[in-house]
Amino acid sequence: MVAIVTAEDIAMRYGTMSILKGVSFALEAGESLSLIGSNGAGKSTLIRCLLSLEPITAGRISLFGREIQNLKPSELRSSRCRVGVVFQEHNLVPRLSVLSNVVHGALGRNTQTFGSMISGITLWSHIIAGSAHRERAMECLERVNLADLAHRRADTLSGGQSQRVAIARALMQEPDLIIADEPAASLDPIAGEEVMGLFSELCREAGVSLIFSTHNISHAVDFADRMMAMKSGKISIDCPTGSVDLQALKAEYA
Amino acid sequence: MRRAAVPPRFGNRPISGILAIILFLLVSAWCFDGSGFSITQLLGSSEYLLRFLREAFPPIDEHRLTFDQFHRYWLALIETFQMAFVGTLLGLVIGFILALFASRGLMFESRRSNLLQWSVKMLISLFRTVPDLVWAIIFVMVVGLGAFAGTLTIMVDTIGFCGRFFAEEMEDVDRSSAEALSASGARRFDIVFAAVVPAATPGLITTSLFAFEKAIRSSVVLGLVGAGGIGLELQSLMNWMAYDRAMVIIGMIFALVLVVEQLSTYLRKLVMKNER
Repeated sequence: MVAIVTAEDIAMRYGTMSILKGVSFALEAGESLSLIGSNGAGKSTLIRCLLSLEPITAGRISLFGREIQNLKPSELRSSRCRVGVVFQEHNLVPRLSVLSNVVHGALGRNTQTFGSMISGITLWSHIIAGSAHRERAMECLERVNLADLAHRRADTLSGGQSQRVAIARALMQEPDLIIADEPAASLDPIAGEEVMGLFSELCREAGVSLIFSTHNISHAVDFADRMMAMKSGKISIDCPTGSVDLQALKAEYA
Repeated sequence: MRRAAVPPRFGNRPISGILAIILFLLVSAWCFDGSGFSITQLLGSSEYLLRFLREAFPPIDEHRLTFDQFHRYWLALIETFQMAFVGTLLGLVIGFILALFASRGLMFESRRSNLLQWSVKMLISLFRTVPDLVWAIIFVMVVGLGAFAGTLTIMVDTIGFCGRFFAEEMEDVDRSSAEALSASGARRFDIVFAAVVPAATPGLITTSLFAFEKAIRSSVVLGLVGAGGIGLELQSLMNWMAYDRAMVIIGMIFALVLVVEQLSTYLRKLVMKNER
């Protein structure tokens, strides 16, 4: 198996505060990994570092065999476009239609050549997008069961629907990896369950790898093959979800 | 019975606050002194005001208003509207483009781009802080008397107004959806137009409507320095002391401004109705 994400001894400081202290792990293709830990343990920071939304202060991160520090902007974009991202909330552009938001997923794929600079403009809204992109976007919406809401404005959706649209947008990227930061945290239990189920199902179907963080230990165990627990900036547990002692974990992290 | 003591009136007020109030009063007194404001002078000159009003009403008395003249005023009013419209339109487009570069961390994010952002901001400030009448005088000098000078003036004024507020609106937009797109590898240019501009649209539209209202009001005055429109007619009538006909023009200006303001208020409400 090939490692698609490797973190080697990464550290991250914010002023004088040390948030990540020597985190190392590797994720193989097709693997799904859940991250748990209390607030401030460094889950979100780790995820933001993997997405290079925050700079790390020491160590190395490679995505798809390529180190992501010191990349040129165009190289960074080409590695980012293989990673679908879903945040806790406010993923979508509120005033645009659901379909336009899904079409945006193709923006990253469209920056590689000079000619695509022009065609990138057509992805600003589904109204001007090419029919191939519109059809693909509809397929992605069908896979999250929201095809009938394609023309609704994104800010009229419920929390669960918004997350499903965000997943559809990530699928539009045809990603090799999906990274989600507490995707179910602002949803009610049923919608949260639905969204997590969708993630693991889609990832298993398409062979996409998955990293997600959560406060819900049963989600962490049920929807991933492997689990990492973080504690004050370090990885304290890293094990397959099959061998986890749920009671002990709950006592410590919930 | 009551346990809590009544707090002293000026107890916890800092001394600096009291000094600020005293300073404000002193400055006000000083400025009143310099401004020449005088109630007695205002009341004493009521004679002139009465003369103006007596001659102005009824508006078409001594100097019979012919159809030709009214037609001329009407054309001048239309010209004023056209000046304001075209000037605003061009100003909006250029102001929007400048605002993209003046907005913090929008198009670029590097040390070098901070200099660019700062210079564009300064340029916009220059357009905004120089008063429109001064621009009008300059443009009359450059392109000659007439509507074109007025249109250019309004354009520059609108660039200054919209450049600033467009930039602020785009800075204030919630950037989380932009960040999500950025994390998916989209280019900055695409992110701006796919995420930031759509989210800022209601603000951009209301600012544009305000800019148009402002342009209508200032286009009326621009005629006074020869930059076309109905202001020119008004000025010459006032010079000839044809107050009755001047009153007709004032009435027409009032109607135009009122109609445009009402329309713009209505449109603004329409835009905001769809927002939460």
